[in-house]
Amino acid sequence: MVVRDAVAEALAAVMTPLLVRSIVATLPSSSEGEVGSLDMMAGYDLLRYVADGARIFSGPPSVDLLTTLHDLIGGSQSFRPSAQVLTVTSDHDVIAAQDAARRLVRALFKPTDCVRVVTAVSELARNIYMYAGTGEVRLNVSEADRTITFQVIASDRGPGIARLEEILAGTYHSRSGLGRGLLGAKTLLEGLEIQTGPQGTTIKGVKQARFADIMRVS
Amino acid sequence: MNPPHPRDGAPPAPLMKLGHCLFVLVPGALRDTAVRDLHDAVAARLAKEDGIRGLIIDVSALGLVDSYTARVLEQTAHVARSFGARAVLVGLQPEVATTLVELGIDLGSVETALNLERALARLKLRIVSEDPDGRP
Repeated sequence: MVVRDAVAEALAAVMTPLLVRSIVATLPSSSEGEVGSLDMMAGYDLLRYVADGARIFSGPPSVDLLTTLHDLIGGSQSFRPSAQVLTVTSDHDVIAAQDAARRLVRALFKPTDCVRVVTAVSELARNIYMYAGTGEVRLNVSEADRTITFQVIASDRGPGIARLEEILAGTYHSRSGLGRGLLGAKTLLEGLEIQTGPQGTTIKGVKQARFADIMRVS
Repeated sequence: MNPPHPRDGAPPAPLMKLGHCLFVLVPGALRDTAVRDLHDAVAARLAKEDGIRGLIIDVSALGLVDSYTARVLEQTAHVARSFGARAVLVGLQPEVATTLVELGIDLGSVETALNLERALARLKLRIVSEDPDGRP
């Protein structure tokens, strides 16, 4: 079944046909895809359209309705994960990483959380190009049990981070600003894991949100 | 491969003089060299032009300010001070301000104002410069 028809059917249970037609008419082209074919970015983007449409025409939609729509559009109850892999070798790539992170989380998190995530990615990407020269940033979003998870993995084969403990304790201050970004990323994300040594550095961080929370705010 | 960045070769941020004040509009996404160029352009202008007493940095287009950008903004404000100009940051987006606090970045050494009007009021500057006869 096509997403557009599935949405129309679900909305028809709680709205008049005219309202359903008005809302469905605003949906983006991703709604022409098959149920279950959408990834997180497209799926949540579509949910936002439905939520905004419903709000304009008949008032804020209930979390229950959005949950039903989510499961319906997702097919197997969840959207496929979206991922991005970026090579970082210059300050351009820091911006590219920011843009990629912003596109991934825009429809998923509250505005403040979006800025937190994008800022953290920016810090990690900048650390790669400033201190390791080259590396990679992997971004991905996935969902399970009504929880949305953003994950960033920043890896490089640079010299490793000296004085990591001092940096994370916030007692290390350098003129170059080294350490400030890493400490910042630790604050902005949850459970930052850092593996560092002479062979390189890998940093993982996540940000999570409950489906109901992000849909209530939208 | 990363897509080519659309802002390559973007023109530098405009610096506009308003009476005794220099107004800088910081463009959206800034690569590091552009942040640095902005700092240098402001310093050069302040050194060249006499009588600038205020520097207003409009950051409303910045969707994020990370530690690097924050540091250069801070340095720009310090440089302005060394040329006798007070720097005021305006238009910080609320999400960006929240994130900056969480990043542990203290912009305390830089004055901030909600908008351009308040920044001008803070600097007690008028947009119209005095007339050539020296009358107020």
